[in-house]
Amino acid sequence: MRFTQYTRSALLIMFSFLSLVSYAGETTPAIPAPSPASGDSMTYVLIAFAFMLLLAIVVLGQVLIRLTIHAYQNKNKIAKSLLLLLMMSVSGILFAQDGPSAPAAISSAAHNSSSSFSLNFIVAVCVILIEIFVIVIMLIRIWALINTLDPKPETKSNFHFEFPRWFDRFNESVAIEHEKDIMLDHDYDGIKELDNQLPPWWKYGFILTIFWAFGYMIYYHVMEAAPLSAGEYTNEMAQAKIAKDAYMLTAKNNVDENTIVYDKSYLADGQKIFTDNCVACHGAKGEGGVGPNLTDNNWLHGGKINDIFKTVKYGWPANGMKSWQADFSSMQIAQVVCYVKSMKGSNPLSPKAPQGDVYNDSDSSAAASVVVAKDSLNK
Amino acid sequence: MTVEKFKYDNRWTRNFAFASFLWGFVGMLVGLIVALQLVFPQLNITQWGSFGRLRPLHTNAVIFAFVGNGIFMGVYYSLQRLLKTRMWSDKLSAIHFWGWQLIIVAAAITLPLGLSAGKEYAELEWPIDIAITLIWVVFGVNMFATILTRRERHLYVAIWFYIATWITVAMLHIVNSMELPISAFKSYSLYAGVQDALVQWWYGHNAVAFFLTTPYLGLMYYFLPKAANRPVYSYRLSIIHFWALIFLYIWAGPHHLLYTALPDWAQSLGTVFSIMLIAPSWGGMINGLLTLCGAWDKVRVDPVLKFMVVAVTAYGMATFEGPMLSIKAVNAVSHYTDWTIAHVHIGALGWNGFLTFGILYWMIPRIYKTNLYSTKLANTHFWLGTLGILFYAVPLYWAALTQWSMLKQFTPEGILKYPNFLETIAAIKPMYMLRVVGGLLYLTGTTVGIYNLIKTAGQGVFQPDEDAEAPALEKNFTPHSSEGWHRVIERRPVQMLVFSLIVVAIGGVIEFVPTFLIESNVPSITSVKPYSPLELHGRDIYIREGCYNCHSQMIRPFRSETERYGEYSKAGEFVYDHPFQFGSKRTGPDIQREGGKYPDSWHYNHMLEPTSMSPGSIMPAYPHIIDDDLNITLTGTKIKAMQMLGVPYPKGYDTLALADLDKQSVTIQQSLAKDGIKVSKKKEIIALIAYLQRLGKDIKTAPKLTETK
Repeated sequence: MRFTQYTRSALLIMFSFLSLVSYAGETTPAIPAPSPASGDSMTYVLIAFAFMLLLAIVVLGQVLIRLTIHAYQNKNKIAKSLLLLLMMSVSGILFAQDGPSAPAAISSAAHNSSSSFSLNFIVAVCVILIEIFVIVIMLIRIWALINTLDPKPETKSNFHFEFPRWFDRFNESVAIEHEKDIMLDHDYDGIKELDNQLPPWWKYGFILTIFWAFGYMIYYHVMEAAPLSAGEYTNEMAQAKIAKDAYMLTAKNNVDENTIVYDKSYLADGQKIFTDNCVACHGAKGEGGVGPNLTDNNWLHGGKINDIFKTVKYGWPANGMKSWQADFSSMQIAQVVCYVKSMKGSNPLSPKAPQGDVYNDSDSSAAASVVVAKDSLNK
Repeated sequence: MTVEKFKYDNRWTRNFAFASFLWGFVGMLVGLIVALQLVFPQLNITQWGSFGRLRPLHTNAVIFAFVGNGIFMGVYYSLQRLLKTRMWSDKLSAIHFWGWQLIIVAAAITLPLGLSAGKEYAELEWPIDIAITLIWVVFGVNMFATILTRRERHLYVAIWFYIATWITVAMLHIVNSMELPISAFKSYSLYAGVQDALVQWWYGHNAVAFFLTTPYLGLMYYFLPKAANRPVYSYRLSIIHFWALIFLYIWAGPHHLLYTALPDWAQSLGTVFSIMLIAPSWGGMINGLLTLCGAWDKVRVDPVLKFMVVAVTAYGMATFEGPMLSIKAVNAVSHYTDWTIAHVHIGALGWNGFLTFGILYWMIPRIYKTNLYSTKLANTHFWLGTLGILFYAVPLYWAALTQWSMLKQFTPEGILKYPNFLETIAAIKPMYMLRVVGGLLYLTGTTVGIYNLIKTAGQGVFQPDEDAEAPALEKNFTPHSSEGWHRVIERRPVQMLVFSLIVVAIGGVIEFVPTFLIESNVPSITSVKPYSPLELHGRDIYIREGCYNCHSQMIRPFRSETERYGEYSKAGEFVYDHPFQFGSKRTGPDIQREGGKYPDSWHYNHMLEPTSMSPGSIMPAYPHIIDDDLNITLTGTKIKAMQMLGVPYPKGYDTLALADLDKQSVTIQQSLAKDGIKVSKKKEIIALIAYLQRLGKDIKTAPKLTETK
């Protein structure tokens, strides 16, 4: 039947298209530039992938509809129209599912925050998985329909899948009709062996990889033409430094332990950083725990705002305070330092006993100037 | 020429078959549990059921119980028929079968108990290692004696693979399991640090090659042409791809250590030999798939062939992906992320799982003289399994890429965009859930398959001894004048064994000897000192709990890693690590430079309840480490063992060790007390904290306070 042959080749093309698409989907995000937007670009790739799959579903749907009509044209018309209706509704549901979710993902991706990143991602992945599932179901259905069109596949009927001739030629294999010529006299429990040539693409591919291997070893270890692990690292760090320095030249928010001044507008951001990172050791209200109380007058490493900045930035690793300069920008450190400064005298519940020397603010920049008697902080 | 009558033994084939799918079910079930634990950490119930102890159980059960029994099942069935003789000794077959099952049971008991050698896929402790060696020899003797008493002059390609498998696995297991026992269930690896890592991944990589691949290729060469009733596509391809495969595979181990402290030349060898492996691996796939030429119409209706086609295709995919992952730029992404997990499951679920079930569906009806109970159920199993693989692998690929891209991001100010590792875990948790769905689908398929097979067995009549006949081999044999060169060795199994050993030994020797002997490969660092007795105890707790399953101790030279974890790892830092604990997957952050990063009390609280210090953490809680007293009876023995392994403790230190241990315990106890935590100095947690606080400190420079003015 000519029609089913067409369908079969369409299916084959579909399969190769799908594998291509999934390949592209896997590799594309592997090379994003380490820009701040690359997390979202992942999502865009996903959405693109979802649309491609949608396209595949539409094409498959059409094949399915035509096949259904074809398969049932000789039977009663009720079944035909019912099936058609079913088909339409399935694709309708699909569009309904895809339509709103994909644009939603795009619009939220524009917000560029870390929480929306994961949400977009989940939505996109779910859509893709549903689409893959639908495609698989459709393929099964199409396959089944083809089988009904070929009533007796077991006997030598019109169904006879073979690789096309070019495939044999490509592999230099001897055609099945002539395989007696290359049948060896081996017989192991009924298993016979042919003596086909090595497929040329395989043979030359193998030789090519061997050459490549020698080339690789010579390039890296004899000519030493490109850096190895350590050299790559040095280059990467140097480039990062250049990029950072260039940015810092233009950046306004360039603050360090010498230039920091107390700024009330920093408190909200500072509080967020504190809650996310500091409460494990210093307590939710700065009352102390694993680390010292931050609300009293006593400071282990100096209570001046510049000293606190230094403590946060470089840490006191011997005492358990880590250095945070790799985790936060100098602006963020300034924010959290101002927030810490603002906590003084807040009198939280169950404070940790004071540690270190008493420090009273003499610089006017600190707003938290409420001086609390040292005793009142003791239990 | 007299025709001799004899009987094939189906009894042990049947037993191995049943053991294979029953253990397979158990192994996959444990896999499902550990997958769930990653999403719901509260499922880490008791110390015996925590992730770090169950994950080795999962990997060992699937590799050595499911696939292991699958190998023996297929070998016992095909070997007899390919050689026209019964297995040499029923008694050895019985010892082999029961011995192997006992080893599995021993593993299933000791691994949850935390008795672990701390090397991936080789976790079993030394008494079990010895048992494995003995049973493996029993298998070898039985197989070889059968080969020597054969009625078929030439060995078929399947048997070449069996021989290479046997000799190579023996070599790998013995070399990698070299360890110094200090008690009934505790030993230290003979090798240390980078050298231990090289040996371990030479083993780990080739366990994949010679336990999961070559024996299964042998099975494919027997069962696929049998099921399709087609001649094997190309005999000469068999020859070339067999020898090329076993020669090249051995070299590729270092691709598991790219960008680590392993010397660069060894890493490069790992890369190039992996690339050269593509063609030999694909040789097997081509020979399998092209054998089906002329039988494709059967593939459509026969579940056996369906399973086999997907298995061979999965094999082809995994063996193409593997070399790609060995390219350094790609490996930078895949190593430590879920990409590797997805990759190995394509191999395990697709290649090993589907081939096993294809064989079972073909073989069980034959040894029970009946038909398959239900083709429909077999087809259901096929689709559930295929979907399961897809739903398992795709989410993990995405998880890997997501996590990697997050970990890599910097702000323009040059600081990490996601400094907290847990943010990346939160982002990929949904993927972990989808993976569970995939695993569940696959396990459901397996259950359907087991039901179908048991029903098949129930409706048939088991044939323990199957009649067969064949002429005996004639003493005088004159070969064809036109025969190929390879025919000669096919008549000489002992030579084939010896050649195989030589071919597989070359790669290992060339990589090991320089790494062990030439000092520049592991430059020594004077500030690196041996562990204190308390730290050594802590390290053993670390190994017992299987921390290496989620935490690496190997910082690669990338900006994104040195900014996050500190200075990248140097080979000289690990010279006293028996065994090494590099790890291969980061479900948690790297902790090679954990020492001094947090106060002691942080670690105490974190072990008691990880989420108290790291909100959103999926790490199991370890209350028993806080409750249990440290067993210090072996302190002296441990020091002495380390001295024997070359760790430079002063002479007679084993007698002083306890005093030092006590002194250090008190320091940690006091530091905890300062933060309001009262705990006895005898608890295990003290030792664990001592170890964690020591990690990576030896080469740390003083804090850069000098920069401030």
